[in-house]
Amino acid sequence: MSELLTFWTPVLITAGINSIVAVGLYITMSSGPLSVAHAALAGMGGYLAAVLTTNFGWPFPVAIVAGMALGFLTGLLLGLLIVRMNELVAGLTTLGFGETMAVIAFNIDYIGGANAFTGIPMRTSLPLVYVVLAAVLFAAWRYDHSRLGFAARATRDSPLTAAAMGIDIVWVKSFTFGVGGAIAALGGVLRAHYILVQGPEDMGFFVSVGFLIFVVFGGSYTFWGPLFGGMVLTVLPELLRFSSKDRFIIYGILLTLMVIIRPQGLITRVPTGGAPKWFGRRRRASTPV
Amino acid sequence: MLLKVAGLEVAYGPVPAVAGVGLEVPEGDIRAILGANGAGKSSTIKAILGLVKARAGTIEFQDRPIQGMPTHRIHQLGIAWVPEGRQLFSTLTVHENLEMGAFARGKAAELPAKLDEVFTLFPRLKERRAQVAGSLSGGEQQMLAIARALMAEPRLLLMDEPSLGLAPKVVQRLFEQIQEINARGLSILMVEQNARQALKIARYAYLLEVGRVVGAGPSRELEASESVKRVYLGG
Amino acid sequence: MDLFLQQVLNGLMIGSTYAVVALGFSLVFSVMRVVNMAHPEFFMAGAFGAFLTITYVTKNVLGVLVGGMAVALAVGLVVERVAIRPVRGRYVMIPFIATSGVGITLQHGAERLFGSDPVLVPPVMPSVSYSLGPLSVTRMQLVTLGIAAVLMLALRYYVRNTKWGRATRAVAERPDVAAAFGVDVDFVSRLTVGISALMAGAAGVTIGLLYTSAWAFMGLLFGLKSFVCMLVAGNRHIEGVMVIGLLLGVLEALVSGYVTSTLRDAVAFGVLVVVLVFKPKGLFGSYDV
Repeated sequence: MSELLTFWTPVLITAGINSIVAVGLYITMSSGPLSVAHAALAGMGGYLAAVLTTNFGWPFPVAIVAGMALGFLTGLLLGLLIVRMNELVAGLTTLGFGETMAVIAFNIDYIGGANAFTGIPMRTSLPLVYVVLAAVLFAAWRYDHSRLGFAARATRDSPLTAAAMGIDIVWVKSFTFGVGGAIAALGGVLRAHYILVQGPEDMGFFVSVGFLIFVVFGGSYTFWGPLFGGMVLTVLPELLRFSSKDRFIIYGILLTLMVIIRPQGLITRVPTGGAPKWFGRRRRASTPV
Repeated sequence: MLLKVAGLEVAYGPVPAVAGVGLEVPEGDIRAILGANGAGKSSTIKAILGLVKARAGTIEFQDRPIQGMPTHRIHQLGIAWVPEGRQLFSTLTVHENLEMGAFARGKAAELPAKLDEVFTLFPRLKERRAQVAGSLSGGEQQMLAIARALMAEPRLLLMDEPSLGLAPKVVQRLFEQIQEINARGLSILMVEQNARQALKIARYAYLLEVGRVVGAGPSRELEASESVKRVYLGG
Repeated sequence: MDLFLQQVLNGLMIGSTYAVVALGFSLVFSVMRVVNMAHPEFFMAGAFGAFLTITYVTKNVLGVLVGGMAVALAVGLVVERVAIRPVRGRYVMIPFIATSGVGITLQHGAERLFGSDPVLVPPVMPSVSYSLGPLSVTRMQLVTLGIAAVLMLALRYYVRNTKWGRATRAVAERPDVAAAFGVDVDFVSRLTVGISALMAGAAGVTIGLLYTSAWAFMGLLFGLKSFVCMLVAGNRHIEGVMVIGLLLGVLEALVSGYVTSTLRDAVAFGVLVVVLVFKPKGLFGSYDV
């Protein structure tokens, strides 16, 4: 029994942390923008909290708050930046942001530069992760049913209509980005204090795409989606442990197959047939030439 | 019979657009499909072309079933489309649009001859041949859309709302040109909201309402019918 | 001044390969509205194709180029069949994830086949340098530039002056109408992916030869920079993408030479953010997504 626990504990902790960040991404995406910056936001939170606990001896809870604050502010600014862009351009701006942050982290020696920041005290434990996850899920649930949540989804589905109804799109988009950033940062702080190392390679585009995949794969319409996505897609490569080289190959194949067979995500509340904005195939005759 | 449609049903998800339409176009004829917005006229045309899937029904072209065939193969059999709203390739020039019209015909050698024919019919297009299609006026664009279809040397021309957005004088000239084209032997099935003009040049028409054929007959009869006059011709 | 010109020259070499890779990616996006996340793997496949050709077939430059491009084309056709064709036309994230999955599979597959360390690509030409006044350039660099130039000109000619190039532009604009005039849209899609694979593969060959190495994950950074080029240029004019690719190469070289080489990779993303703030549709405009 304890053998099983020793093997699965790290996996469960990582899965929990991934789900936390995924929920953060889900909240950001609920108002529209596709973000591939969330790994960077998580990393920034991780770095800040790590520096505070390691170099200054601050208490862990305070470091968590600090990390989340940084995540919130950065998310807010990013949200403001991309407000007027179309989805794809906005998404790729977030890509630019994430990569730039990674490169900057790579070059700042104070936080370890290429060798990453080490010596972080262990503060994260399995129960802590799941308590936090539960709290985040609860917050997401409340968010989904709140006025902000509805406003966000209205903004995503039909920005013009939302604006006509008096919703301040700029505010909704940037605020949700900020909140999502804060939660991602929270995940980053937990991770830094579990792995005990925070490096720039965790902030890049591909890690961010990983989170994006958790959300889209699991279903981006309700918060159960990112939870499910984060859990399944973290645990799956571990289940495929028979060869550490092959498992990513199989993971890649499975991912491709799953998204082709069930494109709307595994968990949906609303069928994606109701989202005409996303379908680009048949160009409509609405712009007569 | 060049084109025969029977029991056609088209639905977009749960919403039915065409609920059992049947029509025929004999060789050499001009026939019209009339009806209000949303009656299912465009969907019928698109189903014939294979651009939307027919849930039920048969479509035969030259006695050959074509429902379920891919669109580009249907075109190769001899059906050309003048889409609603023109839908030109706006970033291509007039000349390139015409070249695209002849895409399926393959042999480059016949191209100049066909272009001359088309330019004789629509001299304005010749003046503008190097211009980008998006910069033409409404009437010119409609001409180009028709010319593009003619380049394919089709047996049957499907025209969707040719008069849409055009000034009355332009529409009149346009319909005269459509008659000229038909006189050269091209069969035409036309969808039109402008019933008055359509009935002037079509020999037979179908009335569509909510996806069903509610009336059909030679144009003379329809023009004379009281109910048609009231609903479609404004009394 | 000499340093400046030398850096500009070096930058043009690399920039020309950015341009080639970006063009292929941009072409697929314009024509099929698909973000092909496996595009960098075509580049990687080209480099490994070159390696295999040199090792087992011939050291003749042309032969190596053909061999590398052939491998890239094969990979491209497989990706098209497996991850693009089944999901083309849906919500833009679906092909994104599907091609990401295939990309992951390909990267790790290559790692499995060739190992996780870079593989030495034997040089195929004597390391000759030419002097143009105070500047020096190696023969390999000239070949790289030459191949890139030929590819770019060929693509431009294809798109503007050939029947299938016209059909490709028609499909990019209005696939339904193109089909209604006899264009087999599926075939054009395959053709387009194939062309993009050939181009990326050629770029991979030249980079592999230039740096005498091939690595399973070499596509990542290169691919990202090409994505950035496409975004900065907008997809309206392919010449724009070419110009931006070249400029990026030059800019990177200048930053490397005059400021610090560690920030080189951040240049692309910095430029992206700056440009997108002022011109969200790219410098030269885009078609709507």
